[in-house]
Amino acid sequence: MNCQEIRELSSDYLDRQSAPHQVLLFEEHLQVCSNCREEVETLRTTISLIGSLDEIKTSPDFLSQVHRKIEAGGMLRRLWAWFFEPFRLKVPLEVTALFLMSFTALYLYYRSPEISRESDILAPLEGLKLAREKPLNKALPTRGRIEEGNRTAESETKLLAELKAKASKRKSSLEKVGKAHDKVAALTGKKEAVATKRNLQDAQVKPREESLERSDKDFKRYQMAEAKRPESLKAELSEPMDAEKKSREGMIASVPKPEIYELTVGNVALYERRVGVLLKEVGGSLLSQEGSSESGLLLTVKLPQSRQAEFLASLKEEVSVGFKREFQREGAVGTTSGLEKELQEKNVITAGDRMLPSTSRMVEPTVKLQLRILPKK
Amino acid sequence: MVSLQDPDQELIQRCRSGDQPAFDQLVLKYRNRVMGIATRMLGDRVEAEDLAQDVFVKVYHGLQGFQGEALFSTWLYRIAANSCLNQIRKRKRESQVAVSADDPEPNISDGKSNPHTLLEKKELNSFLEKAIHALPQEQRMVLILRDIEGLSYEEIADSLELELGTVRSRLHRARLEVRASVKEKFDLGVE
Repeated sequence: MNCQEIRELSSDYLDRQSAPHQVLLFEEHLQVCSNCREEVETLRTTISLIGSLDEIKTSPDFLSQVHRKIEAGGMLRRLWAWFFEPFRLKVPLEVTALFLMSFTALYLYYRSPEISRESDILAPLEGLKLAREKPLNKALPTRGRIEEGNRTAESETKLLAELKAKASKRKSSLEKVGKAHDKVAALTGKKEAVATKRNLQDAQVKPREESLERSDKDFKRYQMAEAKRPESLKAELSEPMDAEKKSREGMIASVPKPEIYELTVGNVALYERRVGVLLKEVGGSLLSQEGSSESGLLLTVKLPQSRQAEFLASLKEEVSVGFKREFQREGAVGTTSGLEKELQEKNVITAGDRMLPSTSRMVEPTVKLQLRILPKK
Repeated sequence: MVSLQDPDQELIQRCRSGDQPAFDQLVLKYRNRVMGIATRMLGDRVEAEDLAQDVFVKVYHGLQGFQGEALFSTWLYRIAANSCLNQIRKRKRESQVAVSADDPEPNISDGKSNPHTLLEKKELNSFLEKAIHALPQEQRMVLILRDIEGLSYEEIADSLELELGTVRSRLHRARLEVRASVKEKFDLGVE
């Protein structure tokens, strides 16, 4: 064993921690090496001096101080034990409970109506709707409720006003279109009447739809009547039927053809003057005149519908020869049931008379008639 | 269960049963040892006493969990050592102040020592305390437990949770340091 090893192992040797063979080697070296012997001895002295240091004593009240601290920490200690002991069981449960509580609180917070994000970003219409469904939110302060109610009322009033304006606009536009249609139909040909009719269709006037339904019924009645009509008359009426079909199928309005009354008289010119007088009496007017006194006249007259019966009755009285009535179909507007009924009431026609259903315009209160005045032969 | 070879077995059993006087006896038996460790580690008597009291409070509350896998004294020293080391770390400095003015009276074993020797001894003790306090805390703790408290290498290893080799090396280095300091000023008198 060398001096270095002696220095390293001197504490073990002095503390009797060395193995027996190491002790022998150690002592053999010390016998021959004075330096190592001095090193070991000074170390032994140092250890002895350290060991002889005075014992440091506590103060006399050390024990009472310990008692005091035990008592003071007792409550805290009990609380700690109550909350966290046993640690492995209580801490996970408490953490889980804390998490659930936090989650529930946040969930309720964001779901509450006072701070609902929907109410914050509602558009005015949405707000109006909300106000209708939930008149007042009681959680809001009073001022807020009043303001909200005012805003709701104003919005509703605006909405109603807008709807009314639209309705009146539509009504006036429909009336205009209807008038235009009748004017065009009275003065010109089919094309312009079709255009105005189309406008009417575009406007989607409800009475027009109803009149279409009535027209369907009338058409069916007409078909039944047509089946029973003598052959001689069918040909003359075929054209109006076609026109009516076209009108139904293509929704193209035909120019309403006037009713034709054929009178056979002794003096055509005299009767012509008489028709003029009667027309004036009922407030009508002569629209056109064709033909001659010798061959016969075709007069187109216009008179108020309400005076038509009166006019025809007057004519009947003037005419000694049979009064042949012939109706032609007009466009698919209106119905002739009213006229037929009126004529029956006025005894212009009887129930047994064969009348073809025709339609009359519902818009204008006037009718147009054609009088064919033929000389008696 | 407490070790059968533990001299403090009975007292511990009584403490667990709620016997307050038994705990008091334990405190009285070990208080100065704990005080010595704390004082020499912290370098401040007042702070050391406060820490020593805390150590026994911890012992009081921890007795129910003490399984007896080691001697009670080993367990006690472990608590004391850890408390001291934690306190030092907490302060983040080591006091350069040695033992305070009210040093304990020298333990005079030889009634025939002359005053000059006593004075030298007192001065030597003071110097030794300073030399020990100047050691790194790891070496200091091992030196105190071995050369002042008289624990075995195994007990020190258990208390500080160190390997035996580590205990030996730290102890040896600590002794050499102290010897070097003392030799500078005092004649260690090797014949």
